[in-house]
Amino acid sequence: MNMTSKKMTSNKPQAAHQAEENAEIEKIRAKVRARRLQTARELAKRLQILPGGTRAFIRFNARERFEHQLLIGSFTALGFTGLLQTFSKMGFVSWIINVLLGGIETLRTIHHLAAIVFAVQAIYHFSGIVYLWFVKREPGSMWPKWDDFKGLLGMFKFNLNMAKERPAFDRFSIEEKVEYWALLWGTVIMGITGVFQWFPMLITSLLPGVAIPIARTIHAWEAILAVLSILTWHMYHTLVKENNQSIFTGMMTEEEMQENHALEYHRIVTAAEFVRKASLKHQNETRETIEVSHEMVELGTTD
Amino acid sequence: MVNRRRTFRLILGLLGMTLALLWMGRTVSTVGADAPAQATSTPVATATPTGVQPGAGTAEPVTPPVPVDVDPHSNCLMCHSNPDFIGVFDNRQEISLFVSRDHYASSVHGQKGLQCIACHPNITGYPHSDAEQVNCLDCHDELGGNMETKFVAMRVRMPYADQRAMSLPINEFCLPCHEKEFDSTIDSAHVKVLNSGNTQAPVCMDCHGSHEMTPPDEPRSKISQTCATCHEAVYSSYQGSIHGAALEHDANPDVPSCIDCHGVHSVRGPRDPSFRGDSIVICGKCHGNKELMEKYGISTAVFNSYLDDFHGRTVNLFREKGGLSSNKAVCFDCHGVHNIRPADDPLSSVYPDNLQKTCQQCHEEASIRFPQAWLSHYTPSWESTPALFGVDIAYKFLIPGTLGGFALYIGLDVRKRWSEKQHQRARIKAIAEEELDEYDFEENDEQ
Repeated sequence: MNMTSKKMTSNKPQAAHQAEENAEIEKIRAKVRARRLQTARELAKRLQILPGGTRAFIRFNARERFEHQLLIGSFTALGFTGLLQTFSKMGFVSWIINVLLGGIETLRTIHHLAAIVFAVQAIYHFSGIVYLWFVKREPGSMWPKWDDFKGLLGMFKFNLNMAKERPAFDRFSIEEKVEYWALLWGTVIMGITGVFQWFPMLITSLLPGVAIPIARTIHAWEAILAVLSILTWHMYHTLVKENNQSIFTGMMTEEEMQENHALEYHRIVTAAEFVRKASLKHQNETRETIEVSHEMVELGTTD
Repeated sequence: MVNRRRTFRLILGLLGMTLALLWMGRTVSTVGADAPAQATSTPVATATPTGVQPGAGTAEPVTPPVPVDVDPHSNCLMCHSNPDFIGVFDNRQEISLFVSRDHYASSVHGQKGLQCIACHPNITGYPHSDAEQVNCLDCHDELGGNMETKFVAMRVRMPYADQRAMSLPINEFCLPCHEKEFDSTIDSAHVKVLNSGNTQAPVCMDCHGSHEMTPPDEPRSKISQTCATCHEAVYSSYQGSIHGAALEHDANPDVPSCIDCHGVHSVRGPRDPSFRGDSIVICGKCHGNKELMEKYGISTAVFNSYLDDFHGRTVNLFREKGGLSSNKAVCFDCHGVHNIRPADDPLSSVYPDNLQKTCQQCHEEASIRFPQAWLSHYTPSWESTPALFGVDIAYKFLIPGTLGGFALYIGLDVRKRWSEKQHQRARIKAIAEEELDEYDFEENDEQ
């Protein structure tokens, strides 16, 4: 673009060249502004004014909530039927299997069905990530950042009374990111080792036989780790320290947002303000809105 | 009415007469009967009528008490000590009716002093049935002759279709003394076959013998030899097994004979729906016994490592449930049933070179690497399976590490939130007290 314009300028008068350049710059600016406005609009949609003027924030959309509901169901079924098999040597466990659940074969069928649900859900989620990365070309709000480490350190400092302020978190706090990455890791591990045990004929035609007992060992230990992690880490952060129902209702109150996701709260509020002002004076952009947009750049417009 | 009473009296009288006759017959045979003899040239006693029910007329009277006598057998042995005494059944089958006095005396029953009628209570005298046959005086000129020297080959016609028709009813007379053993056979595979109409199914005396009965397990190898009478093919494969060889050649007291796995009187068929599942306990009884296995340098981990694995876990859960057994492999599916050999024997089904074929019995598409998926009862160690052992150790650090980290973080968070709450409470209290103080002061001022 620059090369061609330079070539063209040599024959043209200085003023005309200047005007052309300015027009081009103005075009790019308009483009950036439009994209910024678009992002802001999407963000601003998450701010809902409830009847009575209370502000509420959409935290999870229907797709995300449905994913989590599927996950609760399949994870619980897998964990329950799986750990029963791991500890089937204990008397009361074998009683549960044989008397309450109708035997080991039924139990395995349930386990396999739940595994299929879990796998379908996981594949759906991974395809969402692929879309995010390769089509939208965004890293996604779960992508680990340097700030996460600072957030973790900040939490330790705050909890040890070494800092006065709780670190401000964006869309996902360090606690949620730890949860997510643990789950992701667990899903991959459990998926691979589960397939190994489900199709030992196929696997041993490709890999040494010892792969099967290794998969068995990993599957059992990882299951214990996963279930205990959910019971401690996830339950503490969502139900014990506060009753956070946003994954079921999809909504969060203003106070909850300020407490847990201060950065995101600011971004949404700022974006809403930006959109409001932009729509008021959408014909000529004022200095004021530009200032707002600068503020947005600092906070980061994208997740 | 009168008629009926008369008939009753008549029957009673007849019955009394029958009894009296029987008693007389018995006394006669005791006092004067010589051994009835008959030339072999007349093979079947002419007096034996065919089609007469055995014991008719003699079975009815009450079983008399065992007579106390110096030589209680003498009456019976008058005839039955003849080594050439042969009975012929309707189907031309022959049976020796000879009973050796010496052999009987050394048998378990003989040693206890039991007499013939203890097991043959329906034989109350001679003739054994009203269909009998031999007239003593046909052979003996005078009463009281020397019997012992006068034995001649003797063939009598037995009033039975075949040998089983005679021996099966006799077998029932084991019941009064051996009730417990008798009861335990009720559900056995042998009795099931018998009840299905096969008279060749073994009854007590087929395994224990009759007149020469000795303890069934002295020596122990006698047990399997007894079973071999019918189960010959099984026996020969058992002889080649590590268990069978040790029993036969070394008289090993620890290895199982047939009955240790199959049971004695309650012997169960291997097709019994629960036999498969229960079989693991049968093997585990010895192979999980540390004291016993140490003698032979065999690990007892085999049983537990089996229970820890997929096959064992499934089989055991089915077993605990009861009823049908799982189709997952039990001990004998891999190690063989009667032909169990040590794993380092090239003929063993679990010898490394034979493993793939063994797995393929169930897992048809098992590759050459598939058997390695089973650790051959080894507990994972650095030497045998470093990768597996390493993974196991890694998780033993990873899990406490992760959960410890979580606990630390949560613990600090709880502490902070708690102290924040306390501070807040203190602050509110302080403010309230301050306000109260001010209020009091104002009140006082007004007054």
